[in-house]
Amino acid sequence: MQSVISDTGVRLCLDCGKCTVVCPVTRYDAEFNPRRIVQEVLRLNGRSPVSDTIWSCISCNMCIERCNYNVRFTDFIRFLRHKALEEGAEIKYSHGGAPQTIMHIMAHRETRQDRLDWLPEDIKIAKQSNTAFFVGCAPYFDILFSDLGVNIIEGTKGALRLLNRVQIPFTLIPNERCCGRDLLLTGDIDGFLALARANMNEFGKRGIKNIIIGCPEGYYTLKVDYPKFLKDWDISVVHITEVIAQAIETGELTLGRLEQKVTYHDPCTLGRYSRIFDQPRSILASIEGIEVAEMSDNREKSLCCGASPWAHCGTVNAQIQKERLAQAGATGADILITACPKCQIHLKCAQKNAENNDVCQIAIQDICDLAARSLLPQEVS
Amino acid sequence: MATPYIEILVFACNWDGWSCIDATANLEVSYPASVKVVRVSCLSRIHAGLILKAFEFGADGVMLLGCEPGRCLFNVNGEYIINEYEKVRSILKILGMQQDRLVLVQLPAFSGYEFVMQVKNFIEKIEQLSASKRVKITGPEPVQDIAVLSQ
Amino acid sequence: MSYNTVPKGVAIIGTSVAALQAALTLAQMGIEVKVITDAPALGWKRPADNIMDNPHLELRFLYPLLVQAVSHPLITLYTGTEVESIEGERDTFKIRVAQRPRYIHEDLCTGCGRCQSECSVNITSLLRGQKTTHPAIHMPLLGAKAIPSAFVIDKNDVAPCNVGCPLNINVQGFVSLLVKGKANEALNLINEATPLAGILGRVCRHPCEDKCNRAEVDSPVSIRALHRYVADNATQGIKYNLKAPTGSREGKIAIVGSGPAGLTAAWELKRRGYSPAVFESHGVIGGMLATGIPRFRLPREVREREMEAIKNLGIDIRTGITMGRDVTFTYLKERGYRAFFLAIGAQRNNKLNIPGEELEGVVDCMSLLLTLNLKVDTFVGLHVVVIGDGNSAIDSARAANRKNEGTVKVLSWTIPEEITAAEEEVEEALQERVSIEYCTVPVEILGSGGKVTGIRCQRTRLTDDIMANGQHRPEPIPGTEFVIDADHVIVAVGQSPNASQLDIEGLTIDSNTGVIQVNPITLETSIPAVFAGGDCVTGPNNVVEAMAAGLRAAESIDRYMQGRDLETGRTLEPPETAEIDIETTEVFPYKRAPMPVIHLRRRMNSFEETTIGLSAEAAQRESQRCLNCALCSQCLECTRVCELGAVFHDDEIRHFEVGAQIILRCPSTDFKTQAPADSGSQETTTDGVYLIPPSNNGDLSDQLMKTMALAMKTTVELKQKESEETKVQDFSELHTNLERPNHILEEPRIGTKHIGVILCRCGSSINSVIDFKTVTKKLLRTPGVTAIREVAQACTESGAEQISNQVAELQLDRVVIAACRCCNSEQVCYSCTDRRMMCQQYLDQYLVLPLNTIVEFVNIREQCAWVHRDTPKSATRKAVQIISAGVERVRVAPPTTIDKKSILPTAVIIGEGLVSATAARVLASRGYQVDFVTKQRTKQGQRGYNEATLFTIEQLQDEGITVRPWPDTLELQGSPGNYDVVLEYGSQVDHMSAGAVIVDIGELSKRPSPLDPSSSSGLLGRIIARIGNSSCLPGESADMIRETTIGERSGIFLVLPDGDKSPENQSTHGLAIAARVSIYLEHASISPRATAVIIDKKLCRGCGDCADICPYIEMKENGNGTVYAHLNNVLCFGCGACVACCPAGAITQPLESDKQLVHTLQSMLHRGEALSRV
Repeated sequence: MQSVISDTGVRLCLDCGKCTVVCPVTRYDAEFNPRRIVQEVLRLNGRSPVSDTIWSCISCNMCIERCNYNVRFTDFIRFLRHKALEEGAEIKYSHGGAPQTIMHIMAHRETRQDRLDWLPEDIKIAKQSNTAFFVGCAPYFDILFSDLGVNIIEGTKGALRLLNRVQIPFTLIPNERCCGRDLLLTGDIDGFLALARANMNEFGKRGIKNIIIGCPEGYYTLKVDYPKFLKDWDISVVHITEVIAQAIETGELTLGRLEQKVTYHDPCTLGRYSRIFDQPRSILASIEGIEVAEMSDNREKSLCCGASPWAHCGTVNAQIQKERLAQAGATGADILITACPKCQIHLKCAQKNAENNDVCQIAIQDICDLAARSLLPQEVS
Repeated sequence: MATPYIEILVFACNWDGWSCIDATANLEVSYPASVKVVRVSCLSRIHAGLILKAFEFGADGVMLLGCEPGRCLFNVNGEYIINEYEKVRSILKILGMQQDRLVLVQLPAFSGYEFVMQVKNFIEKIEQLSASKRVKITGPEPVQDIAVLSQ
Repeated sequence: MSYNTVPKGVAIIGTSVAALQAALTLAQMGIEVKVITDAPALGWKRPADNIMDNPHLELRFLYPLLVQAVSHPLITLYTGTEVESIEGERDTFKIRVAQRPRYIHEDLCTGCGRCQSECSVNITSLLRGQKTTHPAIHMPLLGAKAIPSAFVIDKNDVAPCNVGCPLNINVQGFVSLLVKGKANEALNLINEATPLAGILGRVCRHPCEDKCNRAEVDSPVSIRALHRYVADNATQGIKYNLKAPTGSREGKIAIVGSGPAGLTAAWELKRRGYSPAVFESHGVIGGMLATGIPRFRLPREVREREMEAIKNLGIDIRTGITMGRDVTFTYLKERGYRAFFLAIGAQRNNKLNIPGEELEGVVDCMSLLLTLNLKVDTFVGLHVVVIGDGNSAIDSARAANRKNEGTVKVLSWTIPEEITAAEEEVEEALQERVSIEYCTVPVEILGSGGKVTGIRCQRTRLTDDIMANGQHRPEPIPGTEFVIDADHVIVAVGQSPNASQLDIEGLTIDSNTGVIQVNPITLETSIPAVFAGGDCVTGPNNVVEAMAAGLRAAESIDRYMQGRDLETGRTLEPPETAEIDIETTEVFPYKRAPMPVIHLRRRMNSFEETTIGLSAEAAQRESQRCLNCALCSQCLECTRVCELGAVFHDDEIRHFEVGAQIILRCPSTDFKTQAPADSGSQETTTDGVYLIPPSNNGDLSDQLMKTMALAMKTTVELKQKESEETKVQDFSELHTNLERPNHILEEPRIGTKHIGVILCRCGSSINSVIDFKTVTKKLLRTPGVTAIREVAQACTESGAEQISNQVAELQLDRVVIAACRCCNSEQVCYSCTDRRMMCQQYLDQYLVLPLNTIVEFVNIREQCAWVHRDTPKSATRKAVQIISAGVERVRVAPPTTIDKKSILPTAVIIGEGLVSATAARVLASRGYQVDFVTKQRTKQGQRGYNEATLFTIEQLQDEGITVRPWPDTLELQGSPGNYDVVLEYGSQVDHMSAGAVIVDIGELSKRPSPLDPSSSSGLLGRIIARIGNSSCLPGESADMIRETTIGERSGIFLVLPDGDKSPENQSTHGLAIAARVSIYLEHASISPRATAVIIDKKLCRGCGDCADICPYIEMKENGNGTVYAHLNNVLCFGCGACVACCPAGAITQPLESDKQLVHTLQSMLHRGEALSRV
């Protein structure tokens, strides 16, 4: 406990309450109060029974953005959750806990996935390459959330087409596992480690040295968390937007034309966590005919899509999502562009709402999907 | 046991489904003891999360046993469970566990013989699934050689 | 209200679906009901009873109905009962009935089936045309189940073999026991009737076999051989059980002679508690058994073994004492002997009365057999001639034959077919090369020097003169004389008793035969208290007859000593003999087992037993030849294994009276009533006897509706009568005085969290497969389990008592009962049985648990023991898994909250037309406050209603109904049991509070309705929007079925459009609705179903998926612009579909939450187990 308190810098907390002021959850549910949680733990020096509200945190990192002393609140919450689980706390899973269960099954040593059915002929995969594209959970999401009409894999396809276009060789890993971020966030460290371990073995077997990722969650986990948890993890991880943006900069890639007004939604893990704000925007900007409108809250201040690890997602989250969608609507854009599958799912879930409810029904699309489509012949001219 | 221990989990709806299970006893027919039954009020109570949980806990096969279409005592539209059923099957496929490990069986009330026949066929089918040995879940990756640097 | 003197309630005769629906409906309205059926179980399928053929409906609807009917406290069921006559009239009916014996106590029997597994009698019978085979003790099945689930025994008259046996041995009984190879049980069964099994098994004349029906197929069952097999193969030895402790009966008894008769009498008297003394003149006991029957037929060791067994009872036998010589009758009387049994046998040999009989070498058979049997070397001549053809003649011939090198001839005076000796004896004799001269009589015995040299004989021919023994009397043919050489002549022309030597004064003896004369029934001689039996009364006869006489004498002596009349109730007439129809039982010929014998060579010069006895296999095969003429063989194995003592083999037909105020009867039932019913119309000509509606060519809903209407009508009549009696004029008093509990809400208290497991043995039908020791050992390791206890039967009252005691003693607040029950919610699905219901009822009665106690049932019978009989090991493992799953479920289950709301005794009826009106009037007459929302209508306004069915607003108002005009809009608010019906008339708004609401959709659809489903988002609108897509059955019967299985909570009753618009049909419809409504209102209070869901408002994302599935869920506006799902959980059916569709997991079903299900899976599946261990 002590170590955690120091590691996460909680001890530095000044009790100023900025975190709480900016916290989107607190805005709709006063019961959740980051400042109070921290202070409680400090006062009782961790001997306290942790309050249930820890599960309401959506780990959007808004608080950390504001905190003058960089108290790593989300890591702290993660630890508290781990502790709570050990004490037999009950997680209120969304979607019947299916995502978590899938992750646990994936973690099994014997699992031999068969997850590349979606791969179209036109996408070229390198026979031999030490660079891999990490697809992430898209194939699973598309099944689980089919009734929301999500089509995450289109984003992946887009990404791969772009890479083909830039002629960056890469391979795909048929038995790649989920990065395990959601388990990590819910405090299920064992589950997370099992997945991390499985992935590391898989990459090792194939001599992978570089990984390109579309999913920001996976990106941050592989780039930041894996090195923390796995010794001798030495794989460089880049996000697809970084690659593409650079290619555009160097002139290796020129995008096509699309007559559309879009707005860009910063995924927390890509923006606040990984400080990747510009690349996505420059990609959008380089598409001819596209008009990009910023939402009132953007970049560092960007409002979260309202939910994180498939648990404890309720009224409050719906309200946050509704607000975010409203912001998008206010820009007058036709499409909300994001780089994160989970943002897509959560926002679309919020759009699916009971009668008489004024939720903005703006279209939602993945940035790579959009960019790639700009290159399709029929779209040109 | 002579035959490999093929563990089947049956989600039986409280009405026609459960009555089939119950009937087997009255009809004095028997089925392997590796078949476990969980009663639920109605098949529409079951969702992907629960079915997958059964697989996580080592079930070699899961059977959804319920009333014939249009027979639901609660008038619940049968589409709901079929939807979940399809979802899980596709997920099993990409998990590399063969989608045939999940079956949906809808029988008239009290068809004990029919149930036993179905469940025995199901066990046979699973034995045949080439990968059944490989995918037989035993445990997660060993974690001993992972140094947890920090939390 | 005192009805103690007057018959009360309704009698229902017959068990059609309608009949049972009527019974249940009446009972639910608080009427006592007696159901009378001649069938052994409810719904027992016979063409007559119109149980519907649709198996789906049968299971979905019939089973729950029957199960509830059987277990309803107000319903008394008389199965196997015929109506003999009906007397009296309405309100005072006396129904004379006769109830067939079931031989099983209906309430005690839990249907565990142990008895069935022991029963070795299989009966093939024709049930509904098709041939079915079942044990003699069986469940009268309806489909796969019986209701009530109690066994019944099929019996017939006494089996012919039993009738044939003078000793009344239960022949079929011991034979059927051998089918399962139970020799010991068989011996005990025989020894219940008589001793000396081994002897009878060898030398009995087996009259049983002469009677055996098997002869019609091929040849009789070889009963004597089986009898012997039993005696020789019972490993546990001879056990004679005493009927009364020795010495419990006073009085000295003298028995003269230790032959079969004497010994048997002594044995029986000893068992009855007397201490008789036996006087035997020889040195050995056994009389003729010892002296008269050669050892090769009855080996010494067998004889001695059984003599020992009798001696061991402690009977005092004094050998070497001859009555009349050593002791005298008078002396014994002086010594205080009060009763005598003379069983001296027939020892004196008859003379030939021909010349030369005194020559040396001429001996009588008795002394020869005696010496051969008891002494080692006796002289036997070279040419032996035996005169006579009785058993002893053949015996002595065979005996002599074993000792001589020459020839042995037997002179028979008749033809082979009529020879006196037993057939098999003669055969064996001939095998042993004893020659028989038929139709030959001796004229003179020739000799020289005082020694015998030969016999002059004469041929005979048969005359038409029939002798006592049924043979033709032969006569000598003159001039056919010839001589046979012989150096040794054995005279065996019968014996006669030597009664005179007893020298008892006043004992009447037949002058020419020398037999003692007795009363054939009592065996009493001319002297009181002196009885006689056996050969000394009958002349030379068979062992079995002698033993029978012994038993008869014992009975007489017992009666005499007890001063009871000797004759009453005794007869020589045989009981009713069972007959069987060989055709239906369909037996295939199968050869009778031959008795194996030793080789001739081994027989010569030795007295080794000739016959060997059947092998185990042969015996079993032979026993299977028995046709079970009496059906149940009375082997009493069922009585032995039944842990509940529910078997009563001496059950008898019972005649009694059933009182009733009103009688409802099925058209199929026919019985003598003063005025027979004309099945044409609904009512019979007899007042108070109604006909239960027959199936309207399979239209169940129509039949049910008519039935409920009938039930309603009956109830109204009874209640009116009641009110006259109790002088209550204004019904509303009834209800205003009624105890209506207001809203009860009890929050759970914190419990001990002690979990206990109760294992039910179910009459050892479960633990015979599942190893309870292992289960207990393993379960004690599961976290939270504090104790594990076993009960014999959880579904019995005592079982419930035990359980509740243990719950108290161990302070359990979580209980898992592993038995045959599977749920503890009130619903009655068709997996349920009356025993399971009883189990629940008794538990409710005894298990007064603290609020937060949770009881979980795990079905280890149908789910485990009964379906994994062949693999007990894995069955045990599974049992552990599924029970620990139950433990997990209770461990994580939230404490229960009791939430009871009262139901107002008021009804609001919306609609017009006769259906609504009738319902309104009936409910009003029941004393409920009724508001009738309808359109003003005049006589002219009513389309085609005839005078009889006319009603006007005034009429309705006179009957205490508040009539309200048709509103502009109508809204249903409030909660079940206490609805607030809001009527808007322009600006003015009316409120009515209602316990129940009836809406006549049929009428609404005909006019612009104030609650048009499409427009209305209110509760009523949503419900109405759903109807029509009903699946099980058209229209209301779907609702009715649901009411039967999971009960009614909403209190909203929809009258659906109905094809038949005839006034009769409409008023029937109205009555039916009224019945359902009154049943609902009778409950007085409601609480949510155990399976009802709870919605967590905080987690609801307002997606509305659940509201799409369930008409009872409503999306409501949150203050902050979001919406949330709202449900009054009293309305919830508990299907759980909403739980599954909620993406946020905001909806939970406390009884089977995801958490509980996941824990269940974890304990059931091997990897889950592994995980839970780490």
